[in-house]
Amino acid sequence: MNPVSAVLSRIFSLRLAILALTLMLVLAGETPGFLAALDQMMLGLPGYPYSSVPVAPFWSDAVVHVGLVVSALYLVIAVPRLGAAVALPVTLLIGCLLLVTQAALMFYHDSWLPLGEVVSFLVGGYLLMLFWLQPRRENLALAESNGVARLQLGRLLLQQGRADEAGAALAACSPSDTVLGLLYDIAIVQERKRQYDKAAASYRDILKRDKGFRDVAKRLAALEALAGQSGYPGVDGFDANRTLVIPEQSLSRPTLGRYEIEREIGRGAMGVVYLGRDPRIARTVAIKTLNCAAFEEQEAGALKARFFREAEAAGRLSHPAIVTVYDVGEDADLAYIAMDFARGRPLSDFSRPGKLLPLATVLDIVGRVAEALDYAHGHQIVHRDIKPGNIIYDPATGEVRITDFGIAKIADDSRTRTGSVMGSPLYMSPEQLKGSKVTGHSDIYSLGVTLYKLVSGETPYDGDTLASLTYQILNKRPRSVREWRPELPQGVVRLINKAIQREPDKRFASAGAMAEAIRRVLVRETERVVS
Amino acid sequence: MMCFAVAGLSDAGVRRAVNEDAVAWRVSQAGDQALLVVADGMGGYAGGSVASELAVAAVLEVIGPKLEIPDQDPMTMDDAIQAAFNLAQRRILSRRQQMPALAKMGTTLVLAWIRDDEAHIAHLGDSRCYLIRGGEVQCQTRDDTVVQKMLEDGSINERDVPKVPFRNVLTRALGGSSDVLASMRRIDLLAGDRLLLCSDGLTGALPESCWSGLLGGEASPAEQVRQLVDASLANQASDNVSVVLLTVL
Repeated sequence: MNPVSAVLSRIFSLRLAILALTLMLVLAGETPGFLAALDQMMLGLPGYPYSSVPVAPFWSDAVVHVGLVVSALYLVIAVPRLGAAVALPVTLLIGCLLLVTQAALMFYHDSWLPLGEVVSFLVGGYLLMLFWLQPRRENLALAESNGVARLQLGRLLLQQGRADEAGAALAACSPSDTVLGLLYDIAIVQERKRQYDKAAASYRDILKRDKGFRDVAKRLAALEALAGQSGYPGVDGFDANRTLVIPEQSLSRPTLGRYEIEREIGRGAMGVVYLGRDPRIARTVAIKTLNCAAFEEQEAGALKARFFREAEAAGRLSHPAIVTVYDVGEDADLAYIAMDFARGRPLSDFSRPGKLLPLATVLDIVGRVAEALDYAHGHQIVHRDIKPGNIIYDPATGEVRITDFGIAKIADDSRTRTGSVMGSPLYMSPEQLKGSKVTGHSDIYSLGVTLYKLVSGETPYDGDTLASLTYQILNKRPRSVREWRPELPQGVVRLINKAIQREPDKRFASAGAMAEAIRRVLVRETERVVS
Repeated sequence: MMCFAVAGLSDAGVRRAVNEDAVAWRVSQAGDQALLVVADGMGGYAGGSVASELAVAAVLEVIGPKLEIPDQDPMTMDDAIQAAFNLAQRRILSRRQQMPALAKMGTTLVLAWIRDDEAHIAHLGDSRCYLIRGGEVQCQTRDDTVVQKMLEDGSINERDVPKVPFRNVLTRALGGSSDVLASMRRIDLLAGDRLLLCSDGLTGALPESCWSGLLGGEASPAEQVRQLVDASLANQASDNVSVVLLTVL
């Protein structure tokens, strides 16, 4: 509100009118004649012993003026506070006291103090104030219920995660502790959502109303320090692998949806993977993100739709060796999938010469993966990207989990021209490379290459460029795994060779059949070792 | 002496907000030489357009002044063309180093330098040059793509191309590969021939078989280019569409 309109809105108020009247009476100096006569007549009636009019002392004018001013202040300030009901007896009491004082002065001191003017002013003013008090009470009631409603709305919006709107709803509220507390919560939510600009604005807003509110000043300082850093989010939305800024301890942890982000645990084809926590049920989750900022709007929309569709399909799978998908969601420019956090290490950690797992362990792991794939294929879901990096193995418990079901499909289409983002087709089946229909047989092929890699540390084909690798996979015979490990049992070699046949029909009939074959080899191997 | 009419156009297409293509053309003052350039950039929001513009600028810088020199040795012309590719590569790499946000940028480059009745065509990547003679459309460049290699070794046939997962992946590009030796060829032009340089946005949205109806006739080169681009936009061109067309008069 600008000063002019502020003055205008106050100038036409009843209280100001009363003050103005007081001023007029005081400045006029003369008591209106009829009032004085009335006064004297009233006091004269109860048998005033003197016939002559008593003398007014020299200070009577001053007393009357002071009385008027005090009455006016009482009317303007005290009456609204007391309320009409309480003010009535108080006003009458004051009036009576004044009359009694006047009478007492006259009888015992024989001096005339014209307090009638003050009494009339007091009573008249009170009646006038009644006209103001009633609408004012309604206004106050309205304002209060408005404030309560805004507070509730703010809380509700905040619960729904609409922090910005919640802040807007509270903007007109008077700064009570509750309101400031809610504003504080809003700022925290904005901060967690990594909307650091907005959070800073909210904190500044709180400071404007209450300088020392909680730790607002400290948080604001931390945010401003963060803004100075180069990795400040929002500066460039270019890199799909751009990580969330995980601020220092004085700031709240960032969140994605309802998940609190703990730290970055990896980088995939489409975005960063985080370790997160679901605070409601204290569950640790892995969160894969798809950064849509790297794509243009329409593309991003289509990509997101597929991301969710695939994740939902994978979410229908429930198998001990398949990472469970809990939730998908979207937060600002990130789409995410929350899934079970599988403890352990990806098999890619065990796929280099010198770091290989014992043969029996490898066969056991691959056998269990084949069983899980059989289950998924039974649900018409093809993994499409089986490779050591997508199988998590926990050496402590021996647990095996396949991760990234269905997500690979989306990566296929993402706009890339240099091939670096999409990764290498080392584990891709020929039919996948040719763009033919992908079935469970493709997963069998990829699992065969995975087995090859896990026992030898090498892959059946090797090309320095995508083009030459593609050519070899499509047209060349694979290098025999015996080239790397001549002592490998014939059964294992046969397993691999059958799985990586170029023609899908020549491979294992199903992942289940492959699992069985692996089990048989495993049993034979164990017997051989024992005997 | 032959005379040339040249026109070109570049459009962001119906899906993309940003145009990462860059085009340019020049005709010498004597009218005996012409230079046509198309570059299709890649690498995120800003990167693509920066790379393609750097490449086109490098070509104009190296070859532009040479357009006014008559009677050049064809070998010298090829050397100049390769020098332009090398300069573009150096500019792109140094800009990539300066700005981390542009670290992934790269670009295709196709150019045609026409002197009298001989055209020198050079390219890297999958932007193409076509010769249109009579009603026949002949591609004069071989894409540096994985898909092209698969087609050549018989792994796939034309029908499979749209489904191949790595179909967009280039085997060579400025900024993207260390080897920037341009693929070059020379062709002889006849009166009435047309040379068309384009980015893959045009071929992606408008098959070559549709071109002959839009090219030719009495329309000016600028109108013909406009018609081609409009037709590809009508087909919902999802990529940037760029065309430069030269007509031998």
